[in-house]
Amino acid sequence: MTMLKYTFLWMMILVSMGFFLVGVYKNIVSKIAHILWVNDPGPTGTTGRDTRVRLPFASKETIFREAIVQKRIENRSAFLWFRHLLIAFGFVSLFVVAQLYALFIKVYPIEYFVIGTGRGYLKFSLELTGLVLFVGLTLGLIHRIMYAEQEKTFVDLRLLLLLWFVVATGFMTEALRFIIEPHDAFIEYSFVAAPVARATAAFPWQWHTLHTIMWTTHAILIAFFFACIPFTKFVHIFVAPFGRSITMGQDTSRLKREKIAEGLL
Amino acid sequence: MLFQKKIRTAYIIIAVLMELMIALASSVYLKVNSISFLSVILTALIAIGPIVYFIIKHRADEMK
Repeated sequence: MTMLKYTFLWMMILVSMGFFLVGVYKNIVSKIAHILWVNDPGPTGTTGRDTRVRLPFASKETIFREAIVQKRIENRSAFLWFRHLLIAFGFVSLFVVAQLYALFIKVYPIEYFVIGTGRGYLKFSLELTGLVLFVGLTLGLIHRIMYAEQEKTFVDLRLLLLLWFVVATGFMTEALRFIIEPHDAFIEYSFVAAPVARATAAFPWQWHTLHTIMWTTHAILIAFFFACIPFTKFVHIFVAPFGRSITMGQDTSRLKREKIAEGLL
Repeated sequence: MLFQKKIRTAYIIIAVLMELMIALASSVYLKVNSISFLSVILTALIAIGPIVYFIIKHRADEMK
């Protein structure tokens, strides 16, 4: 059964990655290439870079302003900024910890992380980052529903719900695992899933079946989420600093002013 | 078209390598001599086809 679950998971990762790669090419790579390299209709068939447009290598300042401090959201409101910081940092740190978990426990097993305290710390980090993300998403959902009219152009409710369900099913999968494996050696490091498991374990439900269903749902939602990234507003995860680097170039604004001035003459 | 072709070729190579590397990484979780691992490798090989086809067919100046 475990083998079947992992086969299903890896096949889904590959299909999801296929959509992701196609989307990244269609909506990021080819568009940036088109902005930077303008076709030259000359007989040689070569392409020359439009030197008036800045290369989209994000400067340190732009990365700091757009990806870390997230100045544009801060300018909108302190609440929206706090919510987005929770989501952004929760998501990035959860992704990093999940990769470290797979690396140290499966790919290059290190005893400290496989059977030692290190595994507990990784589990604690997974729960903490997941909780930060979950709180941010829940705040975002409440705000999006309360201010539906103003926010509908900025926030896609379906995408927010998708990510919320990804995190919620993750916690529920872990809680269900603790119900069927109550003597897990690292259960005390799970400060969210373990209490949920203790509170619900008394119910006479089919916990093994529920765990399999929840695990499969969580895996499908994660694969769907990654496949969606380049085709939806999630694309901002990758392109926000790049896009701003193109549009915030000093030359771009000067050229824009010149173009407007030409139109006026 | 030279730069666009270079970008396209480089992207195809990266995409194919990523699919193959993910498929090979599954050997950490699955037994190498098993139907499961074979299924994963076959999925990767099948997925590579449409990815390469789309990238080749997609016009670089197509904005939508």
